[in-house]
Amino acid sequence: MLAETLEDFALKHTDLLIPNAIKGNERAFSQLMNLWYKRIYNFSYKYFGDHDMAMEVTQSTFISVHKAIKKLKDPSSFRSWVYRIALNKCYEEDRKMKRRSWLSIFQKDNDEEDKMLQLNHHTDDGFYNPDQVVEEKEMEDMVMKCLHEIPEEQRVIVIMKEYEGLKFREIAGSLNITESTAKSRLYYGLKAMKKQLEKRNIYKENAYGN
Amino acid sequence: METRSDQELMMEYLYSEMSADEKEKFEKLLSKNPTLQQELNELQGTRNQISISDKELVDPFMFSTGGSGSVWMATRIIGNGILKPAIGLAASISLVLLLGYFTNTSISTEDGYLSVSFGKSVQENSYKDQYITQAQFNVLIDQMNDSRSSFSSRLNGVENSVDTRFASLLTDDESINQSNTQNTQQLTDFAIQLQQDNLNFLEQYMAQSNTNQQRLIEGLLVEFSEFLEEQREEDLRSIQYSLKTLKDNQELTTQETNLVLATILNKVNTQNN
Repeated sequence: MLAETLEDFALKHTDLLIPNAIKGNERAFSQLMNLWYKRIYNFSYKYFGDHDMAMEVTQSTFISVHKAIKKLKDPSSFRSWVYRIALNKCYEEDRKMKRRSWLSIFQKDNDEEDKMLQLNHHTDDGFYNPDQVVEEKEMEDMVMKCLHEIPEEQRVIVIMKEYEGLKFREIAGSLNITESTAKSRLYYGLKAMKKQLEKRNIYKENAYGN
Repeated sequence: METRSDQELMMEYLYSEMSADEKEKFEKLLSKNPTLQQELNELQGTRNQISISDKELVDPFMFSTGGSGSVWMATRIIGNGILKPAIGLAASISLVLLLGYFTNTSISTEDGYLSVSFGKSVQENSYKDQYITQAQFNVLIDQMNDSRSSFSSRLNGVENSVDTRFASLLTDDESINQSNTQNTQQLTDFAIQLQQDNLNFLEQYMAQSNTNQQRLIEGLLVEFSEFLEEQREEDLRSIQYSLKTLKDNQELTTQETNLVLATILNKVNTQNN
């Protein structure tokens, strides 16, 4: 899975770069940011379901990280720390753009450029299958819609755990809650997602496969 | 209903955050508890359903710090399409310059003129300034002097014409005054005549009006006197009727009185006998 590859790659290098970035090494910080911007962008994108909002949050997150990284005393907590900043930026943007509906993502599906970029995938055998790609895109849109129907505190943890792969310890650190609470919220978040999927009669082949 | 502990265990198991021992124990528990196993399968099924590939459509950030410590990122500039047109424009200009090089295009800005030629040398511009000779200059001066003389003579002619016209206007002024006096006299006479006519008309109207009013008043008085006469006669008839009624009543009263007296007298006589 691509996310895991990036995650491993980011983790491997983050530990080396953080001490230098804390000391004020701009190059180290720049490399650190290049390792993390996609993760933060995808986290923000799943939170809002909107490209522009996700870009805004990603940018403001790294500006805040740049300002505050010298105060980070424990480099090992960087992961939960950066997600906490990103989540706070999401809350800020959410407050600012409250009137803007997250549903706008589904209206933006008409954007040809965006659509073409999203459809620009190939199958494993190298052949492009537009029907399959469109079907997957529709499925993802529906999942995003379901994601935004569940309570916000559960949604954040589902995103952090399911899509960002944070440890329960890191989620607890980011949200300032206990690990037990994080697990409980995730449990109810998955249950809520199941209800939303069933409400829309969404079933996926191989759904019960492991 | 699952306990909180089971929820936590399921989450740890699903997301592989269990130690090997804990995992073995939990799998034993699952084998003995089909309900728990079923719920775990459902949760795993939900996980499979909600898997989404990352939307990695963002360009890498270009991070920089300004001299005053300010921070900016060029990604937004590129992403928002501010830089893209500039890059496109620069590429277009480069392409034009490259084509110009291969087609022997010559561009010159000599003497303040922009000249572009394709494969040929730049020819002298026909619109460049041309210097006149002394003879041409003298001819022009002569032409100007002739024009000035002609203009002066025409101006004098116009002045004479204006003077003549002005003098004739002064002469005409006396006749205009006489004419105005006559017109004023005629107007005065006309106004007096009009006033007299109006006066006569009003006198006739008033006389006619007085006669009509007199006749009307006389008619009204006659009608009023006739009305009074009729009222008086009506009143007289009413009075006569009332008197007659009174007289009749008096006679009836007398008859009744006589009858009563006769009755009384008859009773007295009867008692005496």
